[in-house]
Amino acid sequence: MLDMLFSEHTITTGISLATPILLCALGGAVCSKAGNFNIAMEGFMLVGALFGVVGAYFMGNVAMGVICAIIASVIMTLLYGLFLIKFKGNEIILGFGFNMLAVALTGWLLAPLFGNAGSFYNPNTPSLTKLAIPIIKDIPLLRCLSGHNIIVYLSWIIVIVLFIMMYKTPLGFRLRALGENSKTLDVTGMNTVRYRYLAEIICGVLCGLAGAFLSIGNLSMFTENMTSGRGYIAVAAVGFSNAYIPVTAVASLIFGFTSSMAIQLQGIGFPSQLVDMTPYIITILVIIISSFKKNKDKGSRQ
Amino acid sequence: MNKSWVQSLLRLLVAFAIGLIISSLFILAVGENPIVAYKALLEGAFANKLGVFTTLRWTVPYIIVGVAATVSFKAGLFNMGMEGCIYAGALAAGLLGTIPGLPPIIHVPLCIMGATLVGMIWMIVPAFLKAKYGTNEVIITWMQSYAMTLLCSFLVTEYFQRPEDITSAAQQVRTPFIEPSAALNPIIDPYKLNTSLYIAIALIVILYVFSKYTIMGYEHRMMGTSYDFSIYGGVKTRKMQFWALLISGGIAAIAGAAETLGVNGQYIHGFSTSMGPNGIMVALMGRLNPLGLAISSLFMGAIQSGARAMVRATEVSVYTMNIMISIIVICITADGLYEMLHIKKRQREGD
Repeated sequence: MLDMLFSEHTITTGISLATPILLCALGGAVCSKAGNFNIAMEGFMLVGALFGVVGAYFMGNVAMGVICAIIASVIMTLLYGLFLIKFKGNEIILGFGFNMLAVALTGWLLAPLFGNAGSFYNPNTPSLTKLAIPIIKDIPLLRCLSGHNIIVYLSWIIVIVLFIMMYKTPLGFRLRALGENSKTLDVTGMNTVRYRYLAEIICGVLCGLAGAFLSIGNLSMFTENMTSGRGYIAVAAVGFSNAYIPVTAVASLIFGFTSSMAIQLQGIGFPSQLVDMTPYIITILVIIISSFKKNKDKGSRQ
Repeated sequence: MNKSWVQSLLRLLVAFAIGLIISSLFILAVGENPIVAYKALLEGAFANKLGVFTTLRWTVPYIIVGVAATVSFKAGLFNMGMEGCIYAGALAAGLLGTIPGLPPIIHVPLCIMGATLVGMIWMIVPAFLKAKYGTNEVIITWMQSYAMTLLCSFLVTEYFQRPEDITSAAQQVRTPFIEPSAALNPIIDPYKLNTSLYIAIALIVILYVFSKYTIMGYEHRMMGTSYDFSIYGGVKTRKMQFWALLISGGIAAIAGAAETLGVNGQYIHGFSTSMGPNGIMVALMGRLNPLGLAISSLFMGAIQSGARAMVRATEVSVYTMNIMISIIVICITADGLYEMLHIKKRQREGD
């Protein structure tokens, strides 16, 4: 049973399950560092997913699908940013509202776009091709890293790029300063509003990619509320890692792998509800443990 | 005092107007007349006896969950896990309801108390972490909610479901029917509106009296408005946070119990059609005010009951109503919007 749990198949599935969580969590981490505890990634991703299929289906081109997904998701984040930054809304309530808006909006759009409610599947819609990495694809175990679509590889590159951006460039320094203490940034005469919107746009691009991965990454299809809580697990990954990007990435991967193992467990007759529960239970445990830990750190510092 | 009340109402009206305008655009987009659609909705909700009773039937759980949400929101806490509490309460009530041979005067309170207790216990972990370590309660309550919903489904399928129910045509995960002694009876017979209405009214009154006339209610309110000030004023904020979350969970569980004992007569998995999130909306739309809560619950109840009539009469989809509600929720906390419209005085930067 154990070798089934840790088989190459589990790892491959784990990577593809982790990818949307990873992308959303990175977006959330950037927002979080810039002072916005964003819980609306679920909604942004859902809108991205719908427009991924829309782009791929109507333009017959999968790249256009990805671009549409990103544009749609960015528009949503800009709207979110407008209400958060200009209209000073409460971030939790806004996030809650935008998640609900995304479900309603995508559900509504299905009928006029595709003429049927609930879901859309058309076998002629293009989807992202799987790319093999030349040498790695022949090495046992490591070959799990090969054979994914472009968004998976892109997500790994984004982890590195974002880390460098956030911790090695002036831009990242300013973004982080925004979250630490936005008034000091104001005092230096910087346009803080611009940076806050920038964080939202980054989040939008990443959530759009995550949505595109879900809808046109494998099969080209969209079902109502197809993100099914992945965005919330991403929020948990952000909370768990304290928005420190390398840890955020690892946390997302852990969530992906455990879900993948859970699927294997389901295959051998484990009750499906308990299996579905795993990411939530892990998140809860992680929050419990990390709050104990955080408290200990605080104690030692004082 | 009076002015803030007017301001609150004006804000609500503006948010409502924006929601109405945007959803009208969506109705126009499918080639229907918004006025016709809204008229169909209102007629479905209020024009006949069945409509009115269905509206009220939905208003009741919304009020109860709305009170639960208000208790946590007023303390500055976001209990996003009410859906889980609703299911937990429903299951607890459904199981306690099957105990035979109890008089109604004991049986009904037993079921409701049992449900409340389960809801409160379920909130202990986030409440403890919040009070002791200041852990953010949003994610953990949210995740718990999903976990609890799945757990209830698992428990019923594995342990409480009768074999004949599994093979029944409905294919729903459900417990056996409760004893008649545990039932909350309909107020007027063929309709589903039942005596849980009185529970809802009682909760609203208690909430009003608590936050207006008790010291603890004042402290509770103060903590939500200004946490630092309340510490300065000597409020035991940690204890308050702990109990606010616990009670919020307990009240949410009562909503589940009321659905089980009053409407379904058994625990049916999936009975709560997003009652938890809708309760949050109701609390926000009611501006955390008991009267506002009752009105916004009625509003949500009317949508729930009238939307079907609207869908039948026109080409408008149910999503349109959800779009409207989410727009209202998005607009409702946006202070800047109201400053721009000169409803709210501009706050100094840095306040």
